[in-house]
Amino acid sequence: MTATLKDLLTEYAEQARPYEVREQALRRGRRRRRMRMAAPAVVAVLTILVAGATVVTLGPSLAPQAPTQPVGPSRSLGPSPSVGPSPSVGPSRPEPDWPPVPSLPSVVIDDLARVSLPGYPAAIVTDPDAPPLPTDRSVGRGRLVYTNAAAGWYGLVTESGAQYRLSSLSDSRSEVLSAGGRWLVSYVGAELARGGPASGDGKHIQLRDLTGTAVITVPVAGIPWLWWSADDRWLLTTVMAVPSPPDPSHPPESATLVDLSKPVPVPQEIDLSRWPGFAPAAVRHDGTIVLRPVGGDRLGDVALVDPATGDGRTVSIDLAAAATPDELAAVAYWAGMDGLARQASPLDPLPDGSMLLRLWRSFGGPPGVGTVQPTDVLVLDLDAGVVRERWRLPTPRPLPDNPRGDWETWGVAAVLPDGLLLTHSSTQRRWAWELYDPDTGDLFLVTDLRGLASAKQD
Amino acid sequence: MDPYQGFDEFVTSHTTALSRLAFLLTGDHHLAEDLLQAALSQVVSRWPQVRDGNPAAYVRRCLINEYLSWRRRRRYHERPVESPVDGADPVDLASTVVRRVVVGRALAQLTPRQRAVLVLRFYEDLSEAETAVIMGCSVGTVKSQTNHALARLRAAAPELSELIAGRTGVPR
Repeated sequence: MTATLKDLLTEYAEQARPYEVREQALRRGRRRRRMRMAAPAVVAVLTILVAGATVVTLGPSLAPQAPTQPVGPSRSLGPSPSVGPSPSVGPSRPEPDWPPVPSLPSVVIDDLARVSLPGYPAAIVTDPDAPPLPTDRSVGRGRLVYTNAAAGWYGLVTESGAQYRLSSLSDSRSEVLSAGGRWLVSYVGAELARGGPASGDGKHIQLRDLTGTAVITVPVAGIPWLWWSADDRWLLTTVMAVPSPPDPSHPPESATLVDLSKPVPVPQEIDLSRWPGFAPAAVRHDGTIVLRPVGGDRLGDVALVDPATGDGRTVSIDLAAAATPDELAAVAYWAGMDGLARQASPLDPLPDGSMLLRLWRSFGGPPGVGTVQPTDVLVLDLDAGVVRERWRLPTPRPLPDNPRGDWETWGVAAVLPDGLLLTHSSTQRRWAWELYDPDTGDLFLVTDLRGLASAKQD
Repeated sequence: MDPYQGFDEFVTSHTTALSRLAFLLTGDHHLAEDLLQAALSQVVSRWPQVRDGNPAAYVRRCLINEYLSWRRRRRYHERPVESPVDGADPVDLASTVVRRVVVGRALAQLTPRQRAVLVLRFYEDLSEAETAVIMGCSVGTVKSQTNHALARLRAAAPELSELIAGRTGVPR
């Protein structure tokens, strides 16, 4: 009897089982396809409140156990002894409908395998000698803006890893990036940097094209909120309602839409008078404005509004099919606290027009007793009115040796063909950008952010 | 029209072949399943473009590419490679079970690229030129990788040397 190498390989290969992976492949493939529909699918998905300082100001009110002291820059994350909820102090409740989220094993950033992604440096360390942002040339898209509290200025990190010094913290400006990082947004308002939402006296926002030298000014009547389409083409601004939080009977906010693809962008006032009880929540790649009900009792409802006419339609999505009652209660809690769902559980646009919706869970008791932390995200198909997917993120957990009760959490920073780029952070500090496969739970270190001077800022 | 029309039928009719290819590359059922899933998800994302062409060739290419990049990314997941079979020990190659173990251990000694070249050349019966296209390298690289792979295989499993040496027809 004779055999060839082929025979040996064939014999070896016959040990394979028929791997039934069709369903999983379809799910992952569809997601890839959606992401590919818009070229380089870098989508910063945090809804941006232009006033970065306002984020800091509101932070404690959004997290009952949030600390106010900065975390030391040299601190590293160690293994966490517990990733599950603390013993409940509330009445016993039924098990969640959704299968329990698998706990992530203890994550020590230094132990993660590294991957390199184009446009994401391996590490970012504050450059104390960062030059001022040049006005006469492109610097490339921004990756993040951070607050260097010790030195007293905002810093910009671009996709090449270069750093630039922005305005002084005492300049009453706030600096944030657009969803795709093309635009640096500066808010110029007398009170904003320290004043928070109640004392705002807005003037205008300034948009600097980081891929060129253009500067565009958009007047605003108060403290602005900003929403970007995933491709950075559309900017929707509103002014913060007064009183805050608004009640459903409050007149709808004014809104302004800017098409930044035009050579001379002209802000367009949007008539929202036909949508009482709704407030802006997002803008899609085609300019459609997404509204959500004020308050937290109709989380699955949205209105899609044509910016040209103000006409639109409402869509009701059954979130109960994809989220547990506990999670919906936690989201409603935040939405109610904030008055609007946009900050508690923002809708973040993906390039294909679908939206990410952040879920929350209360650990250690019901909302208001326990601590509410962000968990998974839902992918909403607004046109079909369905939840298309649920992406499971690593489970939040308390930091070890943590008298202030800080938690470390993961949030989606971008959706990439290889997986989700997550921001691994604690209450006031970013730790790393990590690449995550929600299907397998694989987690890889992309960018170590522990060397940043301080601060969460987008 | 359903953009994924025909995908189910394609996977159903190719599951066995693709599963075997994935197993040959990884030597592990779990890894093979992961690899096949990852490769098919790539195919899904481009299904409307590839279904009318040669989807089998495309999925094979995805499988190889995914394997090579995936091995780089997930190296930390891999289990320690078992010691190669001690050539001094008598091994009964007449047994199918033993042959499989010996082949598996020998394959585990190869680099991912060497293993991929070997599988494409000697299992899939592709020419050097076709192999080069799939792996995105030159024909010369395929030749050298093939030689290195065979040499390493012989060193890793001396009892296979005679089989490998002939390549075409050897005593079993």
